[in-house]
Amino acid sequence: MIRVLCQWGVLILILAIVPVLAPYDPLVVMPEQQLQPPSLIHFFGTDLFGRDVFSRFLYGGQRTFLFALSSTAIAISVIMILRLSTLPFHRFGDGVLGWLNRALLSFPGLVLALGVTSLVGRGDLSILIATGMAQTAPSLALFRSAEREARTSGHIEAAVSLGAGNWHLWRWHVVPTMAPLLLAGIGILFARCLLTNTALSFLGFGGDISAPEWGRMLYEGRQIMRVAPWATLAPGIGITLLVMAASAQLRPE
Amino acid sequence: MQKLASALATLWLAFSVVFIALRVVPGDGLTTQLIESGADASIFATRRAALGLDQPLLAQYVETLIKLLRGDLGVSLLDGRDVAQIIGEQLAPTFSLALAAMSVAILLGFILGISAAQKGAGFALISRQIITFGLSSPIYFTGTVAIALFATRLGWFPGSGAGRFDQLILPAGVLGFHSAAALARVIESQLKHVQTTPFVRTATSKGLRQRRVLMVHALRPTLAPIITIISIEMGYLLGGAVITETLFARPGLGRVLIDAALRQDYPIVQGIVVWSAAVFITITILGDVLSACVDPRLRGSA
Repeated sequence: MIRVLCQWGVLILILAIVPVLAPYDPLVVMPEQQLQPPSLIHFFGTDLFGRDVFSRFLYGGQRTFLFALSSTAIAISVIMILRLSTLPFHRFGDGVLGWLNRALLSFPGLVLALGVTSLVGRGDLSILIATGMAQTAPSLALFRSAEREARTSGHIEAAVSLGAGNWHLWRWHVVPTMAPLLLAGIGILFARCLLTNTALSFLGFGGDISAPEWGRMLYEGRQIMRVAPWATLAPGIGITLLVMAASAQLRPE
Repeated sequence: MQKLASALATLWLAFSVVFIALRVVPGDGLTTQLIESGADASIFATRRAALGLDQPLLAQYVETLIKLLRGDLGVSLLDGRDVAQIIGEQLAPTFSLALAAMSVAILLGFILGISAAQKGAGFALISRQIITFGLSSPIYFTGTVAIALFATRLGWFPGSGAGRFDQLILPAGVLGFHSAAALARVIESQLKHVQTTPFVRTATSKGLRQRRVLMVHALRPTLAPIITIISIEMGYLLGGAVITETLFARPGLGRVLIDAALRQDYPIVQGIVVWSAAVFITITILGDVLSACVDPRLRGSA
């Protein structure tokens, strides 16, 4: 648990000092430096507008990370609201939640996300909300199975027989029991949010198109793949590594 | 029978969720279109009335539901085309892509999964790395690289279009690779789990060859969860391989969905979302039935 927190801490620290590491302004256009291959001056080369890909990669990573984190927070809040509002209703509430969950799970994730964006329109906020909503269903399924498993353990049964109420039981006995599983779940949720976020911005649903963001950078890189593959490789490998890190560090060995 | 009823209930709920979500939020493609064209309020009201948007919400809901049961998904807000017809036209390319990708996924998934479940380094280690890569990398990245490599640089396969068989190879390969990774992860963990059970140990100690133990004894009890995963992946693919179709410039449901979402044309979005949920539910039921066929332990519950 401590190791996991440390890893997240290091990651956040790196992202926080990005402006110090980046050699150039990610937004500055230098037409005379267009499509330069990687060199000591431009570590990852430059893109079609002569912008430094390394700087854009760093700033883009920061943005991508924050976006994925926000979507994760949205998904978690929705799950918590749903769970807390069904808590007083015991088995009935759980049944309703399960049914809703099954209905939501029958939409492919990206199809659901596109449905949400068609409601709220384009823009960065819209991407965050769409991703959060689309990733709620699979996480809710995970949450429910973790809770079901936690409720079978002996000390929960003991608490029930001692007369613990719904809320008390859930807050002080069920949640602590499933905490380790939930922590692992958050890593996977984060990874999925990252993939959906970047996919939506790759498809052109983002707001500010000049701001560095890995999905958008991939979209731009794709147009010039033939002459400047580095503009695609940097964000692509970045996404892959971040997803790998978020989902792998928490897998129990 | 009970499963079928529950599936229909799930589908109804899915439809209701979509309906409520699409109607509650203000703003739609029609408003955007008319405001941009500078039309006055009376034209606006006429168009709304023609599309039934001025009715009370409950009346709209009942009407849409009845229409849906008759296979009528409404018309596009922007060009007035029939949504069911639009979906029908796009089925063939999406279906062939999904089927081809699934064939790749099953073949590659079994190879990767079985070799990853072996003990020791070498092949097993490489397979595990490939699986992790397939699960972590976004498809629009691998797809872009595949196009640049196999279509542009080497010129082996065309990188875009649809209709001919060779145009299917690259998109199906990329899409299939990512599904194969998901499938292989399940096969790997199932096989590892089974290898510790007594009956596999018995088979090994009888002196059977490793390969025979694996293929005949260990693989059979793992088939049911594998079929479940295959049906889930297949169900999702038939809803439209959204990114793959865009990437390889193929026609299909996913492409239409993206265009409709960008223009906020919600009858089309609603139609495709409900359609993909229906397909998903149907395929997963078929998967359940098939699982029960290969695994006698599941027959009681199906």
